[in-house]
Amino acid sequence: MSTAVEFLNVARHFGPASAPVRAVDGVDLTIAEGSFFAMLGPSGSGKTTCLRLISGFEKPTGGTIRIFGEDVSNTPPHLRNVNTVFQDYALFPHLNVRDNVAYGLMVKGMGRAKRYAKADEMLALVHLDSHGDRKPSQLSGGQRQRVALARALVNEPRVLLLDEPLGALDLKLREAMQDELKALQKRLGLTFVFVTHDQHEALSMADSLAVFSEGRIAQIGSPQDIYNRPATRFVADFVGSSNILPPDLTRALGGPAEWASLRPEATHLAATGPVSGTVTALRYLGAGTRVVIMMGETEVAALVPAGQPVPAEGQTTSITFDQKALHLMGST
Amino acid sequence: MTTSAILPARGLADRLTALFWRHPRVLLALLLTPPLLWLGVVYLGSLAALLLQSFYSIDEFSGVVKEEFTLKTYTELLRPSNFDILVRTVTMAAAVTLACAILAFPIAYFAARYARGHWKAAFYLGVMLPLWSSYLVKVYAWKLILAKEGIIGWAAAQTHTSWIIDSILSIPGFESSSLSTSPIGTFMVFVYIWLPYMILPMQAALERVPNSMLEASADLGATRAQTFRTVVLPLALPGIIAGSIFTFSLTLGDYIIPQIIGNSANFIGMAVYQLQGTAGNIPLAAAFAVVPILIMLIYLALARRMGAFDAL
Repeated sequence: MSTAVEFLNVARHFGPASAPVRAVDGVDLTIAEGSFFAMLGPSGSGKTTCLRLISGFEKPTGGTIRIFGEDVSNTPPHLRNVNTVFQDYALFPHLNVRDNVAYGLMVKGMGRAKRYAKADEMLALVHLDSHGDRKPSQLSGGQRQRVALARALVNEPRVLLLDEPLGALDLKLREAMQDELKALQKRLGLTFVFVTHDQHEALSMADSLAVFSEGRIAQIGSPQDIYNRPATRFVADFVGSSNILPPDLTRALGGPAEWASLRPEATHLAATGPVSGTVTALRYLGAGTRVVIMMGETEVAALVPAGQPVPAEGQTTSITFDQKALHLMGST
Repeated sequence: MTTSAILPARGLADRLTALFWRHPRVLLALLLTPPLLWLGVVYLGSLAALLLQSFYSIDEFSGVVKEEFTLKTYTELLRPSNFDILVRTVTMAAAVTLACAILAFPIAYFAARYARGHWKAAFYLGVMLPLWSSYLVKVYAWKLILAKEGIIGWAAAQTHTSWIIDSILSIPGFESSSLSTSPIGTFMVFVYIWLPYMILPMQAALERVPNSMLEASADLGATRAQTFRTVVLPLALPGIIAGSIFTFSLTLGDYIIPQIIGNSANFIGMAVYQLQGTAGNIPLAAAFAVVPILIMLIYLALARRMGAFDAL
């Protein structure tokens, strides 16, 4: 499998050279062809800037970006064989759905009959065959999202970039679109690069993901890697709802004196144990109850599955867990 | 807790607010009545009076207005001397509008897409500043600028480029001794005076085109020229039309600039001014005044048919 996108020590700084804002700083990244790659991070972490560096809307201030081996440093967006699904969809309001989808073919000089045929084909792929004559303003959010997808895919891009494409949809539609996007990506065998701040979305859809923090990549790996073996406290904290144990608490709980992450679902309540604490909060989640216990100065959450007894707030309890569930992250 | 659920009213303002809350239409009616009265009675009423006058005629011997409906006054408009005035005015208005649009677009585009902070303030100030000084002062200032001994003529003489002005002034139809007495001068001053009215609506329209729309176009493979033609222009068209309504109708009705600058050829506004004043021919003046209204209606209908307002 070859490499679709490659970042070599890429930087994008804004503002004066004396006090630059380092939106992206020293990023190395390899995205394999045909993979579903997610860029995950809080807002301002540099993930969207990285996506815009691939599409060409931002120019790197340092380093090299290669798309399928070709250096694109001096290639403007319209000559790059990548397409973007924008966060706000950016559909052209004055064109109907068919003309929106056919836009990329039109500017490349394809004849009307041919480009409309291709556009209709693409609209069928996203289940909007009967909506070609409507204006974008007459569509729902989910439908606009599909039009944006069809408009990008009709150009047969080598890489499809998606900038938080599901952010504006409600939960139910979002989950349906997640499945659909994933299926579409598999079927077409295309490289998808997906930006999101939603860790569930990133974990469930991506083959491989990069977690961004302050313009740098904190960790890159498979969803399982990232979830089970976070490299840093930031990753452990951001991806999911892990407990982060300081070295002394880890040691008190039977581990070495290192920072450690412990998943709430791997944590069980016990009447007695090496460390006990007071229950400070209960959150009912349907499939279980999240119990927060104050252990010294650290809040530790445990997930009690539905049907098992839940302690009351203020009660004292301890925890037990399989030592293998404890993921160590060093002593600093 | 013994506090009542409903607080006592504190005065008239409370009772009025409560009244407006129970009957929202009362507030709307109160707000709309004065402007609607103004619009309906003073504005539309006088427009109707104007229309009415244009269907009267004047008795050629006594000079008295005959209050009988006739189309005689309108047929007078088609007399060669009057028809010339119409053609001259409409041509000038169209040329001024086109020039304003071409000059305004880059300025409006810069202001809408690139100017931020101080640059934006400088833009607004630069565009609005000329509107703060008297219209007459500006027109007379231009008369001096364009005069043979004016700064343009002087600069041309110093740089040995007088031949450019001379060759412009020898174009058939524009012959004159100086720019200030040529129709070219009239055109230049019109463009200067009305330019802000084109820039501002254009800038507002361009500002509403989101940046992601331009990026999407480039992303899909469009060159800058293609993006301009297929995305920017259609989306900015309502603003361009709005601006052109200003420049076109203001030029159609103006009677001062062509009087002060140019070869004193008659324009609609000047004709109206003379006919209702010295000549006392109110019906013909009214008929002249109806022409710009008709032209604007036709222009708007055409723009609408071309889809200029689809993006609104």
